[in-house]
Amino acid sequence: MIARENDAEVAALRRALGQRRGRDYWRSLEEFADTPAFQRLIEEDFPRLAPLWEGRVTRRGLLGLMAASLALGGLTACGPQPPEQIAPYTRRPEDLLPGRPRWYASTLPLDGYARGVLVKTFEGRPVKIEGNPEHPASLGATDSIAQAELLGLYDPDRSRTIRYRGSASSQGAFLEQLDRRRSRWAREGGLCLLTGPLTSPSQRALIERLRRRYPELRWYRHAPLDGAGDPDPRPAVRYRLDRARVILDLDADCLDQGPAKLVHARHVMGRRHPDPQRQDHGLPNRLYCVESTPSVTGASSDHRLPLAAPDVPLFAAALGRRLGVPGLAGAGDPAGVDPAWLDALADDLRQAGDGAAVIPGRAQPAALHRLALALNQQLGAVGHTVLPAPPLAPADGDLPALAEAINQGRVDGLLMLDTNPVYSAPGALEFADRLARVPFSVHLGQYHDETGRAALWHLPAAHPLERWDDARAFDGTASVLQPTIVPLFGGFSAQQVLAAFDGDYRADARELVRAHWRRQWPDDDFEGRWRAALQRGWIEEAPAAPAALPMPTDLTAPVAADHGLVLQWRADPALHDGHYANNGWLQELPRPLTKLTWDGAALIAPALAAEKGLRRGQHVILERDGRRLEVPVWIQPGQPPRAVTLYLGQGRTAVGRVGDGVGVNAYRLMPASGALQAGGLSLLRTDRFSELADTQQHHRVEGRDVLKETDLDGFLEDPAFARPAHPEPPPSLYPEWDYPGHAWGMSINLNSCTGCNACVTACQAENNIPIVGAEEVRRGHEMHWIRVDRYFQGPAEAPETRFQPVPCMHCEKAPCEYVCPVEATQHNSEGLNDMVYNRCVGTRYCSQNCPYKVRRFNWYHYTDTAAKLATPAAAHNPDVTVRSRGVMEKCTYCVQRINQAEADARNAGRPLRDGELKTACQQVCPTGAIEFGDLNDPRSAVSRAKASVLDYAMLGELNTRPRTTYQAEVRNPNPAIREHRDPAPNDPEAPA
Amino acid sequence: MSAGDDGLVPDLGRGALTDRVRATVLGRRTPRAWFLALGLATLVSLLFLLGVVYVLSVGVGAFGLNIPVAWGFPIINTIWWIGIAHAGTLISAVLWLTRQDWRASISRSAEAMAMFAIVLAGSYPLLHLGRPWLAYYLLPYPNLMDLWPQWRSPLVWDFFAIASYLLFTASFLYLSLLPDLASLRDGARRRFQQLFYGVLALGWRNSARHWARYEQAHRVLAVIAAPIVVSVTGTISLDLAVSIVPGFHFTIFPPYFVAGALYSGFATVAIIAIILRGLFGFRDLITRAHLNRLGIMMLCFVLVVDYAYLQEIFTAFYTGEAFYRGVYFDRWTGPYAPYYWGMILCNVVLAQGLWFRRLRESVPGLLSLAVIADIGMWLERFQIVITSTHKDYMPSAWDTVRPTAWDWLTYAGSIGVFFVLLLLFIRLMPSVSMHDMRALLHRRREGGHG
Repeated sequence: MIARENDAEVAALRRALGQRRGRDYWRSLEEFADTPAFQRLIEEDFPRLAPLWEGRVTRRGLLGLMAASLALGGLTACGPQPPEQIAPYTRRPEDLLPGRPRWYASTLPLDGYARGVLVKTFEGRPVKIEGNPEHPASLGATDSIAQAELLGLYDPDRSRTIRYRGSASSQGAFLEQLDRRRSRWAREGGLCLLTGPLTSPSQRALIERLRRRYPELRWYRHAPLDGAGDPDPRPAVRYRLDRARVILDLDADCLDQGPAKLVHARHVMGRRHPDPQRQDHGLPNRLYCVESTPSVTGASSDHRLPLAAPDVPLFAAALGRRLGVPGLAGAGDPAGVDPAWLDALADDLRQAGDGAAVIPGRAQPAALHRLALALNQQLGAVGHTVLPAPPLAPADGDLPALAEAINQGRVDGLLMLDTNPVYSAPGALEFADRLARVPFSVHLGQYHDETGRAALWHLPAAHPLERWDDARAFDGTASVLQPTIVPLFGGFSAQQVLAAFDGDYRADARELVRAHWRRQWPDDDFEGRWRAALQRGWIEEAPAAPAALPMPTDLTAPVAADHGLVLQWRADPALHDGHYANNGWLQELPRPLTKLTWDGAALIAPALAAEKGLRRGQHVILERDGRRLEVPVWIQPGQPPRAVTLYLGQGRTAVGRVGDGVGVNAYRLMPASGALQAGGLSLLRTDRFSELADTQQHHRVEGRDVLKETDLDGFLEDPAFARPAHPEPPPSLYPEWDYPGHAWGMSINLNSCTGCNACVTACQAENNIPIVGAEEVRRGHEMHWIRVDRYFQGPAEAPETRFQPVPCMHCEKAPCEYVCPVEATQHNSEGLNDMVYNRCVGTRYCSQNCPYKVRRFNWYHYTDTAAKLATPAAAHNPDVTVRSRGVMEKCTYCVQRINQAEADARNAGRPLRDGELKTACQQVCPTGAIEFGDLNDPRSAVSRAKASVLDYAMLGELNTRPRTTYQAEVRNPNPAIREHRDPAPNDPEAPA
Repeated sequence: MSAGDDGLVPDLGRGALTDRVRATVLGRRTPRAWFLALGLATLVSLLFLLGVVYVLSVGVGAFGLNIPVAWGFPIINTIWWIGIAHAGTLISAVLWLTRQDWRASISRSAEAMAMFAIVLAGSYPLLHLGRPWLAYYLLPYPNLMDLWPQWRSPLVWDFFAIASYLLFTASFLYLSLLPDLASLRDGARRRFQQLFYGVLALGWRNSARHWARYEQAHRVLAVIAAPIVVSVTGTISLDLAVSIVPGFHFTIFPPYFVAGALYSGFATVAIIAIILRGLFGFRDLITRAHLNRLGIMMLCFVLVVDYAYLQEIFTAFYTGEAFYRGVYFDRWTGPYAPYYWGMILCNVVLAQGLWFRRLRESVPGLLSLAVIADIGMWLERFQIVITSTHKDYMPSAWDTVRPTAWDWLTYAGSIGVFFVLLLLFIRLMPSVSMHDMRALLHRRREGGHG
């Protein structure tokens, strides 16, 4: 607690002291010690010494005390062992079996919105996160970020101490300073609050309490991914896409962005089960995607239109004119869009009627949101597929408003909760400079990050897995964050900090949350309801009366303007807004469309690259509004030609050893309003190059028997198109295997896969897969056991994108097995292709002979505790071996889960039920694209999937007879749109 | 220079010949060039040591390898060195069985070359392993788990092939050295030389019974050697051919690899012969006629190799498989095309120089053709090992590797090690087989019989 309020005075004394020499020095030290400034310093630094100091301990006295302390200290060491008895742990609590996991329902917020999760803990240590099937925003799935929160929990770079001006300090010192200011704020105002998007009911209640204490309190909200604030708030809307037949995604990336993404993905993709017998052919919906940056949603859509972000409102208005939305009669078609395409889309939407849904992107301005709502209203979708959602609490302003308030000197105290504006504020705001002008700024964050360093006070925040908190899901369902471990580094919850500002200095984090809910349920059995909420993972409440959606009036058609070259900022598919930049799993996650890991790049269209003569990895200088940023380019097929996209989330400077210095900070170029698209970009070519770390170098299928797909017409014509010409398996020299018990198999439905990467991170978390770093990825040494291959076909300006998750195929006639000289890879009695790490000597012959190239090799000792990016040992799954240097590894079908489930069934004396056992990739998949189970059981889900007419084996002609098979993809394009479409998946025109 | 009717037999008496050769070993004076060469070779071999220590301490990630291309320089170098070894065995065994007199003066150095090449070839697989300290898992040693090696794996065959080849070559070399070691013992004046060679000579007394036993043993080993020449490289080629990798999986590989091996082996013998001529003035023992014969052998085998190239291309396209065609188009136009065309330049274009007798008989001519042959054969192994998996079945997994400094260091360093061993050998042991040469002189000049 080096609270040097009188720093200047002390510094002056130090300087004076430094000039003295010789005997004089000692005298002046005494003089120095006598000054009131020094006395205060000592009192603040060592409060317990203060009485001693007061008592004027003499030099002799002090020496005597020290001598006595030393002597006594030595005496205790010499003493006999105390006759205390300790007892072995024999009476364990019921249900607590060492080595068996326990599960806790909790919640992980993203952008403030809740996603219900189940946390698997071993002896009080969280090791894996799964979705909570009962939670409405999870439905049992999670995304990559939720999976990676586990690694974030154990991140050794997290903030561990309260800091004052960057140096370690204490809670007492902080509270003392806070206390001095509180009465003034209550009298004169000047206290401001800055949060991210916040849904926590208890935090909001505490903020209300603060408002009562400080009537002048101003609450600002900084949501960098929501774009520029708008005088009119956006309509708060949620979608029931399970009811939707025709969906139009307007730059929303609805399957991979936003608080409802998991639900959207389940509803849109999980229902695509092509079946010629059914009336809707098993393809109940059709997805159109108009997008400014290639995304997972665009790749999964039936029709995709690349359009620069500022043109998307024009597109919506042109559609509105066709649908007869009042006020849009004058809207023209945006340049470069085929009017016939728009006509066909309008017809399709009109026919769908209340089964249509138009979804605007969060990065788009509020005008588009109002347009989209008007479209939905016109179509009759409101009330059916489009429902009101609980709005965010109205804040008093956004970040530019706060900056303005600081400028005017109206901010005396600023509390920043879980937000990092110094990093994520638009560059034009120069927020760091403004923050320096705030006399008393407090930052609560998990990292001593850019804002933590700039603020006067930094308080370490507890991780969501170690704190009491609550949050609401996209549909308003509240749930509790219950800690699964005590805070590792002693962090605080936001509630505690808010309570401290309210004068409650000793509040218990749990009680603060409970107090809120106790007030909500005054009459009920509070403990019972509380317990039920914790066990279930969400809070049962009477649904709030559905507010009617305020229908937008006075719509005006947006005016087409020439924006020149447009720069678009988008959430990084892995790092989000940058909060997760120190998470190695996410940094190394190949982004779905680019397959880039680590250092990011500016995405440019092939046409722009050709125009400017740019090659991939070549550096350009992006200049906008006088600000420049040097960044390598990535030539992205399907990018609109006049739009450049920068992913946010990189270029961190103060987050930790993983995230610092990776990529560039795209916020630096952002206009002060925080708008996520802006024209007037100039792009200067340089001669510098970076080698970017991507995981897939080739993007065409090359006519190989890897992907099979057709459209609905082709499917109806030949439903068995995916089946090989010669259905009987070719002969083999080796005898068939015999599986008396189980025979495991997997089926991956390409109709459902969105390519979202959740399986990759889930597998990494489950199987202790190491992080290798950018240089190793560049060398082709990445370790993911499941990869999501991404192929392009068709023209580079508007290609079709296909994803294919590839785990180990567990071949029946495995080429890897017979070539291993030491029998380290073996066929087991249940059909798995086992890897015996102990036996492996690392000849790598198995990988050479694997046609699918799914094996991964430990080129170095990645799991060494001294390795630069070593996963903390605590984050490891205790059921899975941590592999050492020189050993081959690969997907095991989560053999540890198989063995556990089999043992459980055996102990209970019952057969293993289908569905009881899930692999990590299967469990996490938002769309249920992966089925796994026993092929010996003809009624198992996987057997049924494999009986489908769409089932095919990848590279089946090699006669490896893979146990992982795929269900061929059938798309449902609009027959009225005669766009370029090649039914065969082997178009050589895609870019290299 | 040479007095024999075909230029293969030196113009020397039998005693004089023995004295000539013996002097190179027992003489006090060591040529200055030898010291120079040894110093240079030692420096280069230290690079090998550095590379080995580094790779063993950090892991095989130091090499330019990744997941589609998990085999690289260690495998390439193994095949290359084992190929070089083959010519030694061919000269000392097959040419002996077929009564090729001209082999006499070069057989010793060829055998020594074979020996050292095998040692290097055998060390690379260890360096290649992820966990070399567990290499003994490949042995069928008794263990508690009753676990055998995987007999279906070509790497196990390989292990036995290289191990038996090493044993065979060592015994063959030693056996043929015995009579010469006795001559050295008898000619030695200094005590330690007498002791050293005396112990090594194992009591050889030049008796008729000794000679009879020697001839018997030699014949048996030679008869065994003939199939070994074919089988060792053949087995190594199966490492590739038995896999399902397009570019590896060709039935022509065993004969193709044997021919390639012998081509590079004869080239290396020619290089060593030229060094011996320069270092010890053996111009009368190893004559231009010998160089000519070596050149003819090289030509013979390079033509087989060229035929195999054609045959491989034909097979790739005749299968109608996109995978095989893809590998070939990639070899011709892909990122490794310079290696492929370099190989074609060396082994197909420049190798045609071997048709010309003037080139074969000229020292600089044959030396350059031999160096070209060794480079060409190394490039051939490079393109086979690297380009086959870098673009195999799954387009999504295609990737390239770049050799690292450690790759080049361990490769170049091994050449240094080879020359260190060879230079020490020719200083300590008779580099021309004295008894073979004496027998040749006897047969040619005095009408005796072998």
